[in-house]
Amino acid sequence: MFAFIIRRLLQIIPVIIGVTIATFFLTWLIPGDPTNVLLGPGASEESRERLRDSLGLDQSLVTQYLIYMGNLLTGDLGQSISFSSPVSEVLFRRMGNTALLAGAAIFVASVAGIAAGTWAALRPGSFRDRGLTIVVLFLNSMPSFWLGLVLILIFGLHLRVLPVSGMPDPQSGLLTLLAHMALPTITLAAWSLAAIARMTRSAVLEVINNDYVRTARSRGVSEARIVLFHALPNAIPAVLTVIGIQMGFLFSGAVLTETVFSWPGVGLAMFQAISSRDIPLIQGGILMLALIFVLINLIVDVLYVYFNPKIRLN
Amino acid sequence: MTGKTQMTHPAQPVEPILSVDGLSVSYGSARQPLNVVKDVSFDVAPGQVLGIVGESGSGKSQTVLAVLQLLAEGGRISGGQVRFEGAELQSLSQRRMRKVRGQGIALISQDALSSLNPSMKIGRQMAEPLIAYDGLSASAARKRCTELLDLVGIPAPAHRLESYPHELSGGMRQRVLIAMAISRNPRVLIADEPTTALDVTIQAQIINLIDDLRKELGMALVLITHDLGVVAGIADRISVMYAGRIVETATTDQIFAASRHPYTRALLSSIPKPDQPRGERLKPIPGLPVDPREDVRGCAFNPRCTHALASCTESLPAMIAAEDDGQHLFRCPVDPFRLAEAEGPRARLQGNGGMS
Amino acid sequence: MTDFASTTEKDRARLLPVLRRSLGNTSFTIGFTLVSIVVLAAILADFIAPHDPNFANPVIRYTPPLTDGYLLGTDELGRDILSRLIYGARMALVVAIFPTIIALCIGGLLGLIAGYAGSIWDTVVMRYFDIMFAFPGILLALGISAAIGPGLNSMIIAMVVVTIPEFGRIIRGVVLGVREELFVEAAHVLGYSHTRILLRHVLPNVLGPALIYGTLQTGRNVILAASLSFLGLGTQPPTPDWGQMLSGGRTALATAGHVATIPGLAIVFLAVGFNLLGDGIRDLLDPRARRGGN
Repeated sequence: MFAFIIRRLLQIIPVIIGVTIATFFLTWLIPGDPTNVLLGPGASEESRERLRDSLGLDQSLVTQYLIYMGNLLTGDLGQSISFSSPVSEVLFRRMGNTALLAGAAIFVASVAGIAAGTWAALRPGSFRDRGLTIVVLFLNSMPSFWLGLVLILIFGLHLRVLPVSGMPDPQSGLLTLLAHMALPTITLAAWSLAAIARMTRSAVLEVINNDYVRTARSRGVSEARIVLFHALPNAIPAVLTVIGIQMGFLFSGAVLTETVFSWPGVGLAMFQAISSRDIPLIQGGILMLALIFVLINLIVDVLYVYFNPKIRLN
Repeated sequence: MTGKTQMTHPAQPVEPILSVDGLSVSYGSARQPLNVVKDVSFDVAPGQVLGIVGESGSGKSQTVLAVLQLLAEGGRISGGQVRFEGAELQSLSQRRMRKVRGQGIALISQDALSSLNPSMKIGRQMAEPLIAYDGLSASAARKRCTELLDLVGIPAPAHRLESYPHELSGGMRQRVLIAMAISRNPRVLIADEPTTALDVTIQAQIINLIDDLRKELGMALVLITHDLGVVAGIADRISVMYAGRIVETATTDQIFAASRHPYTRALLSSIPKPDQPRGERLKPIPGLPVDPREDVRGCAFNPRCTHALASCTESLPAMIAAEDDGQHLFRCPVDPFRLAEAEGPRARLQGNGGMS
Repeated sequence: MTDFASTTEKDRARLLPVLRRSLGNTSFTIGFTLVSIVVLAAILADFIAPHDPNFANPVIRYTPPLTDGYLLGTDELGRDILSRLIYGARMALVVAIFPTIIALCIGGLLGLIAGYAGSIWDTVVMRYFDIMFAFPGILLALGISAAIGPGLNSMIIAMVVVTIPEFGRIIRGVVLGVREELFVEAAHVLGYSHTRILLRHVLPNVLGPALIYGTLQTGRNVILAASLSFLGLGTQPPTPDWGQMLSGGRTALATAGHVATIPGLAIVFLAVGFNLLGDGIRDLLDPRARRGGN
């Protein structure tokens, strides 16, 4: 088990390096003079020179990359133009808010998705099963920001039951926080819910008519026990993988959702960065979110092996 | 006509513990049904051993799965009755059926590797219904499971409770399945091809184990196999199935010495015998088994039968009783002497030809 | 996956039953219909759009739907939404289909090389894919688009870069599978050149999955492009673009919700169309893949 973890860690090192190379390349993609974009068009020639020096913009790509990596390792992600503060500061300050939303969303998506998928798998081909297929189809065909706007329209503006933007002060209490989180969480969770439900249905269907389930049935074990203790545990590993992948998508989906709901997280910061062409912030944000994604996938891989005795004991 | 009308014969006064009457099983839509079991009837007396013999695809597994209402998705009982201890089973709700399964009738499945939950320890799988439904405490269940594993001949039983299925050999897994089946003291034990996936050397052990347990616990046994040799030693009565129907039912002696259906005879003569002269070729049954999707008019064995009469293609032969024993039932109009003649002198000298 | 024989004239004679089967498949039919409606709207835009999509008339801004002459109302600049929707179909289709085709070619080529040549080529290509896959969802597309600068071209480039690994991985999988087949080994033994094997044996097997996943990805592209446009990275005003229309309607959500919600319905319409079409094609080509969901 331990050896497996070490091996996986070693495997992702080249990927991490590759990710840094990819984000580094974003600066290279900027047409024209990068200092225009990095400092804004009104910057003085002095500051441009200084920037060129510190980033090595006159030197070879490799040197530039090494400078970039060097900065990364010391936690320097550059200076954000729109926020006028270091990128790392902007990101870290907001990371918690995004994590809160993402955590709530994955929770909702997992619980609802697994429940719905299992429910449908127990009666394949029936109304409820086909209903689920249609719901999944629509959730997969919906832009999340549109869903968010529709939810705002219905629940916020017409029914007036839930707040539609922003994140409340910690002083306002848990209930207010949850109220503010409700709509953005649902919006963010929608796509993942569809993916998780679909995978759960598929995995449970594969397992529910297995021979060993039949053995349990033949001994008089109830359907409920069979689903809970025989079917689901064997279906979970596959579902877990999907959940892991979805977690990554949640962090990227947060850009859209936070924009729609004005939720002060990394996503909203990215949107503001895009509007003002704040490349360092965009770069830093992408790098951070990608690294988090890689880490999450690693954890999911480890959990998958842990829950699978056959693989583990081999 | 089924064998039901014969049941009032004084030779069998005991009420059967399991009684199947005209059972039919179908898959697929009502418009285009796939009939895998057609009008099957048999009885099992308490403590008796019934062997059901047939090729793969003959419907024998489907029959017993239907008895326990364990048919796969899309399958249903399309006709007939199943009676256990007098009560009808085929129309019971799943909830009521659960009371019968395991406690009244138990099933030993065919492939022990796929019949055990790969991610659950043996002990936990075995103990599950004992704890959940029979009211045993965890430690009492543990003790019972250890006893059961010991009973089926597994060494170091207490240790084995902590193993996963893939850590055991094929023979041991089958023993575990047997232990699980008898764990709730059923009155009827159904063993579906319990030795097919095992080495020949272990097959006899397993069959004997099942028979010993049956005698010790006073259970009736339904043993399903494609191998006549397997049932020869322990069955009281044998039913032979072909293409979803029972073609012959009789006592073991009658089957081996005086069977009345060409298919049974062909099965018997295809068994390699140790005293066979060298150079004499084996006698397989010509042709291929019937495709269950085809609904044939007349006798399904007809294309492969060497004695076929014209009437055999026209209509399905009715189930009739032998002249000398009302309990010997078969679906064939062919004269018994013609059957024996065709096989030559060896057939007429046939005694207990089966292997044990 | 499917086993296509090498294409011959026989296949052309099989067209009629294929058509019949396709129409019998619900997913395919509905999907095809939905997509066709959008395609027709795009082609016939000049004829069926009631107004000039770019004609701004601030006097009548935010007219609600079902008003005389403005079936779907007007947007924040007084432009007719229905006309913008119809013309917007052009952009929606271009931005969904184009990147798919380009990415399929490039990704397919990479996958072919990785799967067929194996060893070092495979490692290099897969490493590259792994790195690409480390960026979830729209992040990388977002970055590329923002770096190059907002506009249609940068959005397409971004989308292509992000979808190449998807196709590459799938094609590589198919190629790996086919490579194991006995008939390929037999071809080697018979002395067939690699090119011939690739063209006559590998390629036909790749076409099916390529079609299926290409269609499904096109559905995803509709949403991806809309998302990028919503963030301001796609086509710039005044070109009618559904994602942008959504973004424009945000401010007046409370008073004129239709401006934002209606373009979204169009996006869902087209995405559902491509998704069903892709599912339908997959059903037709390999019904077994459907069993048990997905």
